[in-house]
Amino acid sequence: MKVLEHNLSRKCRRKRILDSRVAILFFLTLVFGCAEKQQVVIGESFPQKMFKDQETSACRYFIQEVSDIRADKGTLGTVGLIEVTSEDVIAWLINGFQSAGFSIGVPEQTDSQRDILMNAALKMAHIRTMYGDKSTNLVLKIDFEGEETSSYIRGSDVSMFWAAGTSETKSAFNRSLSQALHKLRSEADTYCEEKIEASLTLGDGR
Amino acid sequence: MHNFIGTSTLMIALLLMTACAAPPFNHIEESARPHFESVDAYLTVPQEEIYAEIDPSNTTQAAGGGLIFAIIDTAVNHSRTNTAEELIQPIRDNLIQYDFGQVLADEIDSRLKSIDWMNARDLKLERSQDKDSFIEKFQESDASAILFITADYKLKPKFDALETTASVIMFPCIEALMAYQESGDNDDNPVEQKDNIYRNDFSKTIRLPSKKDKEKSAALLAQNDSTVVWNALVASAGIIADRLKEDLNLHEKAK
Repeated sequence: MKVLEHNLSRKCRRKRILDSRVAILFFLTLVFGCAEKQQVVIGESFPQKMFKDQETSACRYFIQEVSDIRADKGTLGTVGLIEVTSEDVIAWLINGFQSAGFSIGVPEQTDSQRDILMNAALKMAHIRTMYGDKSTNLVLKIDFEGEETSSYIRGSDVSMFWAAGTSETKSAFNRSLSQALHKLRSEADTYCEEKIEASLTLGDGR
Repeated sequence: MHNFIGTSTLMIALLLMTACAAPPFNHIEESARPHFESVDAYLTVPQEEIYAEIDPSNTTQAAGGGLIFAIIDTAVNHSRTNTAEELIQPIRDNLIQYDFGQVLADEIDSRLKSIDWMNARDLKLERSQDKDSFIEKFQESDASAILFITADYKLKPKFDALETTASVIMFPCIEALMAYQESGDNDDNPVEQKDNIYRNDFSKTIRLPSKKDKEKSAALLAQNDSTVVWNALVASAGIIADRLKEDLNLHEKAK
């Protein structure tokens, strides 16, 4: 009986050791699974759902030119020790602008009272990690046609840093761009109201 | 008995680690200077904007470990990072059109060029750095030596001071300077720390006007277009550059 108990307890112990080894292996795979990866590359897609409840505006917004004026166009910063880059940052911005209700290019037929033209440039976009978080910042430089000074519009995000994955990094940049675009849309709507009011005051409103 | 063995092992390991710790600097010997026909210099500032440091929570350490405490630390750090990022945004917005990396590069470039024996070429400013970049630049260089500077700048957790740091290391590219390496070897990687002929770290902390709590201090720093922060940054760039120049002219060796 004692021998049987002894054997059973040995079996249990072995199973526990095996279980813990499997757990350790699983943990190590999770932790070091990404160690070989040298770069996180952000794709050009932007989720439409971030602007699904967007109200329609009385004006039409046109971005004539989208440019990248970052000091270093080759990087978007680092997550942990991994460098973040972009496939095509302009295409990503264009997708974002279009989701937020901005058209790219110039209108075929211009309505001077209701068309708002602007140029957009990516001034900076960077991600960095500190302790358990990642912080993303993005700044757009907007030049409204007819305005002398540029507007700088920032979007930012602080979120938990999980495993330097492409998806979590892309989501952080998308949230930052979405925040900047909401601010831009709000600024453009105000500009639109002012423009319409001004045209009504002049007596040529429709 | 087991405890005794464990403690002894730990103590021996600590003693060995301390004994092997490299000194914080290595200077260029005077006799090496005539060999410098040219120096390629790179400054890397891998941050686009200023950031604010946080005081990290360390309940795990205080409690001697444990998953619950690690989770608490993560939550506390997340909250502190959120606050710090929120507080620094107006300061960042004010400084959006300034480029501290370029200011620091100009300062260091002028100091390096004023060192006669070094014959420094134009300093190149880089915004990112991957681990292979040292080797790539070393292989591309036709200079006598190559100098790498990595800088960092941040506000302290209470928003009451600015800290600028620069970590500097120089590697020989020609045979005549190899003899002056700190403790070089002939392995495949010629840009390991031990292969250096010069290294040092520089740090400058400048006190900023502040209030009792960090929220009010951050608001104070955001006033007047954050001129006080920008002026401190410019001053720190000059100080770091001056110290680097002075240090490159010393010849005290690491022992």
